[in-house]
Amino acid sequence: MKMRITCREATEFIVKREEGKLTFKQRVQLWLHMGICGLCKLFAKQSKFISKMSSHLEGHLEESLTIEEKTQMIESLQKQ
Amino acid sequence: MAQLDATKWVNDYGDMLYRYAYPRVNDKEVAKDLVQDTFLAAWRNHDNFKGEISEKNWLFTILKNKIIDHYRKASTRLTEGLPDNTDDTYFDDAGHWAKQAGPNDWGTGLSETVERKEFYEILDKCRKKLKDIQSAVFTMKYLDGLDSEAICKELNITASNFWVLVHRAKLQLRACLERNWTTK
Repeated sequence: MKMRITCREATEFIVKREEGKLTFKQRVQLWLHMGICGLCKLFAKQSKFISKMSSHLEGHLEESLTIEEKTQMIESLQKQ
Repeated sequence: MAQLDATKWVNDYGDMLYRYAYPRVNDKEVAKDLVQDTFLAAWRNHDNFKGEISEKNWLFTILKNKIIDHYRKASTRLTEGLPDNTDDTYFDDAGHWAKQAGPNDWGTGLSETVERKEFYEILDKCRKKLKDIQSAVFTMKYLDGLDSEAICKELNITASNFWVLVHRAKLQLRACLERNWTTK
C-alpha cells in the first residue's frame, strides 16, 4: 500500500478533510505527510482560516443600491 | 389583488436583496440585474403569492433561484475552471510545492484581532480572479455552507470535478491573499 503522498495530494486531502470526506487510508496518509511537511501544515491552517472568514463574509458588506438604481427599478415595475 | 406599491417594495427590500446577491455573484452589475429580475418576476406573479410565507421570504426564494441559474450557466463552461497540465504553478513535477509557491507563515494574520474590513476587501478582489465556475462552487460551499453532494446536484457536476475546483480555488485564494494582504 502506497503511504507517501505528494503536497499536491496532501493539499487536496486537507480541503476534503474540512468536510469530513477522507477515507481511513487517506487520513493516515495525510497524518504521515503532515508530520514531515511544514508547508502543508501552514496550508492547512490558512485554508481553515479562509473557510472561517468566508462564512462570515456577509456581515461585512456595506454595499447598497444607489438612489438612481432604485428609481430605475421602481419605474420598470410601474411600467408593467 | 392587493394594491402593489413598487416604491415601498424597492425601498423595503432592495438593499437587503442586493446585499445577499452581491457577495454570491461578486459583481455589482450582475447583482443589480438579479435583484431587478427578482422584483419583476415577483410583480408579474403576485397573483400566485399565497401569503403562506412572508413577502420578504418569497422575494428571497425567487432571488435564490435566479442565483442558482446564474451558477448553472457557469457550470456549462466547466472545463474553463479545471486545470490542465500546463498551468500548475503551485507544484513541481514531483508534486511538491514549487519554489516561491509554498505558504509563508501568516503569523498574527490568523489571530482574532485581524483588521476585518481590509481582509474582506482583499478577499473580494481575490475572489474576482477566480473563474466563474470556481467562484460558484466556492460561494456555495463556504458562504452558503452547502455540502459537496448538494452542490454537485445543483450544478450537475461530478464529485471529482467538484473537489478539483474547490482545491484549485483554495490554492489560488491563498496565494492571492498572501501576496496582497499579509505582506505589508
